[in-house]
Amino acid sequence: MTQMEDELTPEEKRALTALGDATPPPPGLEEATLSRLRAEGLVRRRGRSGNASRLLAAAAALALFAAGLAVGRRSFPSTTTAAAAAATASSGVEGPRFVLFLYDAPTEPAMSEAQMQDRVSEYRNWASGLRQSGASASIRGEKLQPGRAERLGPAAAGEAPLGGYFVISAKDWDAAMEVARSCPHLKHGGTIELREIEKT
Amino acid sequence: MTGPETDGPGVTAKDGPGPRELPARAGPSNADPSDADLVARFLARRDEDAFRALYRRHAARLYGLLLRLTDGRGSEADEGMQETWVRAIRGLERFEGRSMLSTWLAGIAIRWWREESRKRTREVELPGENGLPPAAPMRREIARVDLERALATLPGGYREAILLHDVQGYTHEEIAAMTAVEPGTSKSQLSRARSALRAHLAGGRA
Repeated sequence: MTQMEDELTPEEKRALTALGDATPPPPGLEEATLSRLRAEGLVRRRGRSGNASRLLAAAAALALFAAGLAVGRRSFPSTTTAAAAAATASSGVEGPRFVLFLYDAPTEPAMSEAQMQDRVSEYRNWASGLRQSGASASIRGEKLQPGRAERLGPAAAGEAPLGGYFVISAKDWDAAMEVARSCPHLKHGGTIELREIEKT
Repeated sequence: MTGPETDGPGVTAKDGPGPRELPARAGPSNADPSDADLVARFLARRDEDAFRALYRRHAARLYGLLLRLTDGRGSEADEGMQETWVRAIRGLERFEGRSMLSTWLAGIAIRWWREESRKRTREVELPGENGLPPAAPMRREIARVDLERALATLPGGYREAILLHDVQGYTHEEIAAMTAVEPGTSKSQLSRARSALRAHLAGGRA
């Protein structure tokens, strides 16, 4: 092969260069990588410091529970556990009930106190709006306990943390999907999984 | 290699994602901290935000490389991505800035892939030139799918040479630093790899 033949033709160069376009990794991979780094003690968890952060956390948790909403972050319960908890949540309303599992945005930055309050208000207003409009006669949610959690089955690595859930009533699957689509969690980069609660 | 990662000699340190500036690549703007700044910030406090900034700056390019090395197997690329970053963070204190951070990361990814290939008994060694059919340079437009298939068919070492030089845009000096070969060896490997690629494209074996 001559030196000339060893060089790329413009067509070859164009085709090969095009393969080098950026390929964004899956959204959960950053968190999964960070989890491994934290487990090995190589990265320090981002945190607010001092009494202010503890007060903020307590205030936020109180506000969340008072409102019956779920915007908690960084908890890793199994879906099975959350589903069981959701299924036991009594709505007092006949008809199909659904659960919206809220998975955190994988890259959401830490929130300031003001941002946290805004977020709580936003979710509270969304829930109130659902009740008033009749989209869901019953809606309740709970923040999940942060800390130790275990996942069973294949869906372990790379998933975003499950931060909480809502139990809603809706006349059918499509109506429940409408509710899920309206949840502000989506616009903040979170993921929602909709499941129907089995009637017992 | 699972030991400490260090950057090889012979490449001038620069900040930024890499030698070929692609439009889709998110490199640092003038207002962004440099890689060196972020590395220093991370090392000072094991700072999560500094890590996230480094990850987001280099992830797309690194993941693209891993995805092509692993023939598009996402789960393997994911594993390679995590392993690359874990090894990089373990060895970050020994990164002396003699190469660009992106080059150093790519070198770690390549070494991970070679280890995995050996474990999974994939072919990594380059075959001799004698068995290759002659191939002329391609002077027609090449469909992306054909090129991807041809690359996936190549022996691992050939694919590595083309991915690093022709796709990712690294120089022979950078490739030599990250793969522990002489630049001349990198050139000759690339020459044989291009010939093999053309043979696959022309012969319909891709």
